[in-house]
Amino acid sequence: MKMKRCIVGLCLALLLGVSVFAQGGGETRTQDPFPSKSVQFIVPYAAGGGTDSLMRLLAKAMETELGQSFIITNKAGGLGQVGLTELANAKNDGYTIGALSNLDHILVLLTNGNVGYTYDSFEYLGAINTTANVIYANNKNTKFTSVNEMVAYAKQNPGKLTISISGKTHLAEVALLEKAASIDLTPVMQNSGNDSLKAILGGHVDLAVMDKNFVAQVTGQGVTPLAVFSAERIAPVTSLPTFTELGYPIATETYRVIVAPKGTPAEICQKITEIIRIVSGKEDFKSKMQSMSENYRYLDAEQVKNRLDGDLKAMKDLLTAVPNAFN
Amino acid sequence: MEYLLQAVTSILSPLGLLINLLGVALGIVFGALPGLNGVVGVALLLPITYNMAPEFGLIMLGGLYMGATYGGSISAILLNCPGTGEAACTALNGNPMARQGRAKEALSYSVLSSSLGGMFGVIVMLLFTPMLARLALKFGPPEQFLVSVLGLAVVGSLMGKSLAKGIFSVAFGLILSIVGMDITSVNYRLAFGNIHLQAGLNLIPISVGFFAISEMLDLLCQAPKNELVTNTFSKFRLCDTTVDIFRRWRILLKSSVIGTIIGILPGTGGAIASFIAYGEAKRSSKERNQFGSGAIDGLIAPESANNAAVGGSFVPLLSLGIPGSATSAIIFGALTVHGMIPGPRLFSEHADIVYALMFGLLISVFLMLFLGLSGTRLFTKILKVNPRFIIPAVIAFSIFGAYSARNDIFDIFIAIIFGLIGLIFKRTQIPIAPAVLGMILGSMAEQNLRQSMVIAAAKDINILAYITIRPISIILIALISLLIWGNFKAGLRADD
Repeated sequence: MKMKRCIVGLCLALLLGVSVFAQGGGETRTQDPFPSKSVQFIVPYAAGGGTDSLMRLLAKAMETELGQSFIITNKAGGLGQVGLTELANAKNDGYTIGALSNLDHILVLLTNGNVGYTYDSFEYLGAINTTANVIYANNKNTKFTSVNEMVAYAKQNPGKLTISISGKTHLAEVALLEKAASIDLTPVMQNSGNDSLKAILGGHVDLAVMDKNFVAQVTGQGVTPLAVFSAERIAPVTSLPTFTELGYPIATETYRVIVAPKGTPAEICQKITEIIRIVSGKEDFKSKMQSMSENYRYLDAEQVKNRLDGDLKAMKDLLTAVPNAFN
Repeated sequence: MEYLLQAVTSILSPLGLLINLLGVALGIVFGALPGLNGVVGVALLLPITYNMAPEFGLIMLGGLYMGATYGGSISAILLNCPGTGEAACTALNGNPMARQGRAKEALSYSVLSSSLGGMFGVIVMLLFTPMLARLALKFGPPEQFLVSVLGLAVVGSLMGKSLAKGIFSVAFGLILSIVGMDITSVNYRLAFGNIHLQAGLNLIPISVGFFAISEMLDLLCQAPKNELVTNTFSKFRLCDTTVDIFRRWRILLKSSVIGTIIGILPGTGGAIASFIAYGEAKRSSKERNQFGSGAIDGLIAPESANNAAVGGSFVPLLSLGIPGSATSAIIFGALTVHGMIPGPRLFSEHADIVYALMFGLLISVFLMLFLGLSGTRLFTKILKVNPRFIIPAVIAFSIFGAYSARNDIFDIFIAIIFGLIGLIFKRTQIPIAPAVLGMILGSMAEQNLRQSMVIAAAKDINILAYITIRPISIILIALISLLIWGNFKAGLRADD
């Protein structure tokens, strides 16, 4: 009797679980112009983060433009791997799209075993932002005011300088810097940019790699930004030199790419790219992006694919030159 | 001063009060429903605040955070289903009280201590934010590691009768915390090539399974009853409770201090605060022999601590831009969307909005007290509902909560599996709370230890010396020894 009750309870639980979340199948008539129903927009990062905030803004603008809802679904985990696996396996009818972050995406593909998708599992539709990471130094531990001073010290004291990082992108950037400057740093992995911020503000590490938006946060707190990893100087921190200017050929930037599963009809892909261009080009949208400290930069499908190809090649080259860059 | 006036005007305006009340009420509901909590609530309401004036948006989110931290105690006391770690300790003494027919009394103690603790945290935040933020920065990897060890030392007060079973439970939780990506080496552990396991186990589905689903399965397996609690409600007077709680001011103050400090430390939160406060209460309380069977000290200590942590968690957020807990991390998102950069310049550039958030939280505490006290009668009605209605409702909410943590069907299965594991734990008298404690603290302890090791190696310092020879470390080590000694001494005495 007891056993039976338990089993009944479990079945009830399972049933509820499955039925509540089973997707209601809606029929699409192919002759209707896209989109004729709501679109699911998979964000493979947690709610409230940088990618999420930007994509919510975009989804809302697309909703207003097209009159159909774009429903953001956060599927965080494994540097975007969880959400992207689901997206890659979704129906390629244009009603499931998503976003990814360029270097996270490439590094997952290059360094994780057993990824459920490939570089070619997606149609890359466009991008609307760009940002870059900056290297910071703590003034109490070190007296560095420039990258050259830091490199000179690191050459004399290999492995002594600790550098806070969060995520594989930062690991790649530190590896690129070590290779370009022939130095050896000790990375200290943190859970998030905020943890890195705490470590460098508290002087528990000597250096840190964090987004350019942290420059405003560390101003006047005993932390000096030294240089930016992007190929060109980036607003609003245009006073910071790039590594390329300083003679270290490093150029990495971060941008979020809007993607659809492979095989989504070409005319739908083109339409989405076009809508992204229209809504993101509006002044209101740009000023909202600015208030979120995001730099607006529109890339169409072809441009974004070229950039991603370039990033992929750079990371492959890094792995060839430094096979244990991620271990 | 002008900003202060401006902030107070918006807080006390009818709209400000209404939005605050809405936030607190929603928070209590989110907190009370197993599986939902402040993090989920704030994340759900975040998009709504994008279109509101920033001060009102922040007042609502702050109220929700405050309310949700208290709300968890309602389901913990009445149903023995704490939805989150924050209320796990509350259930240990609150639920036995409810079963003795003292549900209304337990709920009153809970809301009073939550409000007093919450008020303490907010006042400390209002007065000492810049100073305390500097203190928070002093906690590097070695100190954070010792704080997590301090949390783990609490296991001694959670484990009930058997030492071996308590240790087993905490070890089980520690293993769960390993699953997923190891951030130090960026490699997967215990993932078996499964993409869902690679993302790590989320605390919400596991605590929902362990606490709520297992409790409901346990109820299902018992002889059918028409009411959850057959005892008649014993009479009690609110003013007696109020007088009594002020008589226990020592434990309230101590727990509130613990809660506020833990709240200030980034990467911690109300759950760790309530565990540590509970452990300390059990060590020092005169009622320590009644802990686990309805000790009032064991109820008010965790409840005041977790609400005190709310105010504390805003300290590093507002002064440094580092959120002190998962919920304040999302509130951080609400600030940035409005173009405000948390950090030292926030006070000079957006003083009116910061004051609105800070004083809004103070009002939230009073609204919470009002809602909690006036709702006591309503909440206790649930004990007279036939369990055949409660069980499916709780299971449905649990599954919804498990799913909503990450929008992942996989988490539903995790919740159900851990519901079954929880049932096995209950049947074999293995305490569940230590497992959740282990899971919460495992990754914090491990990451900070390994960061300490990396830094010590880079600087050629002996790792033991690096961790122990620091002023704060010495204090923490003394506290850890005290806690372990006190609890194990009590444990040994009980064995005789």
